[in-house]
Amino acid sequence: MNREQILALAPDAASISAAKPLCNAKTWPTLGFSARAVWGEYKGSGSKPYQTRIDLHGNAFKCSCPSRKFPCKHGLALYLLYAEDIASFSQTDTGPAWVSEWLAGRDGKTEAKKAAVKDKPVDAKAQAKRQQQRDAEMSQGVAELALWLEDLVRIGFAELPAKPLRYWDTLAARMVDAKLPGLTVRIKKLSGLLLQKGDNLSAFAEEIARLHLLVQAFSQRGQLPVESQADLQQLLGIPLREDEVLKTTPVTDTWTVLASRDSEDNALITREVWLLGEANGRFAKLLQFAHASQRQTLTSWLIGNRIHGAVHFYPSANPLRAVLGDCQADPATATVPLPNHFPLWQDYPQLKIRNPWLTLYPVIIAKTMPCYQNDRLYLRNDDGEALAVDTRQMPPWALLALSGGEAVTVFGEWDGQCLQALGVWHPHGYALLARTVSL
Amino acid sequence: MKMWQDLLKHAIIGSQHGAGLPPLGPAALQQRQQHWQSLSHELQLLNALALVAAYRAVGQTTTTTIAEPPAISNAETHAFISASIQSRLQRYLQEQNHGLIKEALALLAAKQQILTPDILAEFLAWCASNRADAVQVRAVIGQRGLWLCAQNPDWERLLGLAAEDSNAWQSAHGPARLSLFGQALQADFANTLAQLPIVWPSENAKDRLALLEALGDHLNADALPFLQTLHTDRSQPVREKATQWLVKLHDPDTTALLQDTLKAILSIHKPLLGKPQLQVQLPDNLSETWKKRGIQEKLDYLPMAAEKIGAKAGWLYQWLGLCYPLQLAQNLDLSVEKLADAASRSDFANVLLNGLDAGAALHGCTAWLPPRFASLEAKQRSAWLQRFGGTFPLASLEPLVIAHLKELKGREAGTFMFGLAHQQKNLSGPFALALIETMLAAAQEDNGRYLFDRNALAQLAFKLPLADYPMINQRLKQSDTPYFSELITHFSQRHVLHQELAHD
Repeated sequence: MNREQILALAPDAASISAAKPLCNAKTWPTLGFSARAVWGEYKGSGSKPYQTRIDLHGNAFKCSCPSRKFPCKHGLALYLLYAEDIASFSQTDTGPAWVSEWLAGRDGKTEAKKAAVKDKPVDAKAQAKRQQQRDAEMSQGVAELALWLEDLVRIGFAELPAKPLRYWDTLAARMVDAKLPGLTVRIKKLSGLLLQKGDNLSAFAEEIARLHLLVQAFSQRGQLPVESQADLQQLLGIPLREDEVLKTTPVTDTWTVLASRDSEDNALITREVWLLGEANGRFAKLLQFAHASQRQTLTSWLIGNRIHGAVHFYPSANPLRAVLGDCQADPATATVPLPNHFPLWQDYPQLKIRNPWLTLYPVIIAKTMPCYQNDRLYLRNDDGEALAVDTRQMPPWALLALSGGEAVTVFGEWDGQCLQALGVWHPHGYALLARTVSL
Repeated sequence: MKMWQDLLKHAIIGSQHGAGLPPLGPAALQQRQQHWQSLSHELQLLNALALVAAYRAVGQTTTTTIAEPPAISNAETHAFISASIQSRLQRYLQEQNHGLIKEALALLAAKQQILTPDILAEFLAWCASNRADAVQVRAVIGQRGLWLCAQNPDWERLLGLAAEDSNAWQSAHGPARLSLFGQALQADFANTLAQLPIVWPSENAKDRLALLEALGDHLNADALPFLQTLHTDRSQPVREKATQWLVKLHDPDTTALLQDTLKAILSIHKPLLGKPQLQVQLPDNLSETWKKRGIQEKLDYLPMAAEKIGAKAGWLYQWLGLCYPLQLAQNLDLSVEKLADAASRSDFANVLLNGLDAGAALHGCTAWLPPRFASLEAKQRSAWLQRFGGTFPLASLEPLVIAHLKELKGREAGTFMFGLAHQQKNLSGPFALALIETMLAAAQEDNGRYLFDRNALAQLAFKLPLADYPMINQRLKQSDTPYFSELITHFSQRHVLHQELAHD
């Protein structure tokens, strides 16, 4: 782990500031490490030193200090010291009792969890019954939504801004009860759309149209192609287990990490990692989720990391989301190669025909000139045709600075109207444009 | 698309109020619409919305046309920073380590190296919240940075790029403007000064005062004609500051007026027994001439001492704050030591001594310091030295500091030296070592760890002389005190930065 990766584990900026002064080996009477763990005792204001330990397998922390932050400043400081001043640590095969007991406890818990999953017998009858019950609940939920949509267009959108928040919340809660979390999120977004400035009613109507299409598709789901059924399930929020995805046919290539972005919504961290296959020119998107206090459980990829091996795509009409199969990662390199062929923004209508609910899809726009006009950023091609770039989450200046008016190749997510730029190939290499987004 | 807008109108007013749906435009959509005739109005509208939304999304043209290609940035004339310096600077930005960023910028400007395009935007954004460093940032952004600023009017204004180089300060704002003004004065004093009367009427009082204060760092006799016109300025603080600069430049009119005034109110009384004392005969009214020169009619508190003061005593303080103590001593036919002694025996001792302190500070009269120091009680000396720490060069204060340090012990000595160092921009090697020793000794005492603020320790690291880095660092590391980690970390980071840039 390098310094940046360790600091990414911090729960907030204050913890980083608090940890920095502790990165002094003098303040740690005991410092040690083994192949498995790092530990240290910090002389704090209490009578006894704080015992801090880190499990290197999974970057787990434990400290005897009273801090409620996780990891605490002692954990961060110890990890930074280990990364930057390993000479101050003594190496042993096993740590002191307070370290080995903690590690044994962790191992025990993991084994117990695995055993519980393994040993649990599958009751096919009960499983079928549960599935039937769930289908019934979902059908009832979708029927309620259909009725609600009809009500909405009967009374007219003009009446909606006056509706209380519970008008939206009640239906959203019903969708939770009906085991349709994907619809809950969409309904919650509807009330937000009405509050937005600009052409909000048109955007609202588009979202209503997509919901209606979803309702209609659900009632005819048996007649849809398998890929579209998978897309529908994903929209409804029915998760496909990772082990099931791993059973699909893998796509083997050398995958380069093009971008990694974290977003946070109600303490849920979502890490998106975009991979680009060097030979097949396909994009794959890895998604990881964790609670804000468990950020360290997310795998950190550096831009330019190469992954050689298999990637399994989630079933979809436009496969994009994927999980890693048998593969091996190389350290990040300074150069990120641009494949000979890759998805273009012009492909988007075809993708949209296959999946009408498609929002963002990664594309590469080659040899384009970023132009800033009337407070908007565009990517202009040689013939004068220009695409708009969304600058709400990423100011335009980094991209402009890298281009200096010259043509560059931009990687981003296209929604049919606007591009969210994520990375750029410029004359001196490849650079990431967006790292973190707050929702 | 008109078809979508028509449907949207129906959806906005609601199917219960509206008429039936119009036929959808394209034949393929109309054909589909035929199948819904038996459905309710609501379902027909929802179906139509879904169909047209999908039709729009698949077929719409989302591009615009930009006829002219963008302007291209000029080729760079200076070398880019190395990759290692770039990652170092990015780390400083990430850690919000403003001290090191400022130091690095100054070093890069001196080396005529420029930032790479990868970090330009980050640095310009940083500059927007650190406007006083606009001059340093401007020096390292290169042609690409100038091109980028041309795209962003806020940055263009911030760095004063809208105007020619020499007049850049006129179009900049806030602290950035002052630093650009200072740079312009240094580069071309006469031309910059000639611009001042032009912009003066449109400036507000706060900005006029700030410009005048900035002018103080570059004062010379060429500024006299402009300063003499400021007696008519609307703002009292501006007139006061102009008068200070006039006496500092020995403007004949103002100096003569001051000497005449002081001659009229100050005299030496020599009693038969005892030592001479300074007698004060204050006028009943403050003349209009002095009001025009910015003397406040009612000064409620003695500045720096925070003591209540009468109106007339306030005038005395302000006049003395303008005078050169050696000149006054000469006028009264006294040595400066005797002037200090006579002032301390006066009924107005406090006002006289504080006023002469202010005058000495204005004129940089170091000869006033030893006799004034001797007139102080031991317990007053720490505060007095710290008060003047930032005004006089440390070298002129050092003998007094050393003398005073002998009277202090432990934490008193540590906090005194720490406070004094806080006033300085840079510390000499011997002073820095003495400071470290006293601080280490103070930290050993009970609760010694709480004597020194972490941020202040970090700031101190930027004042320590790098030439003495090995010695100071060794001394800091020898001690077992863990409380100075902030100082050690920043000092060593500075050292590494300088080393790396020297070998780059």
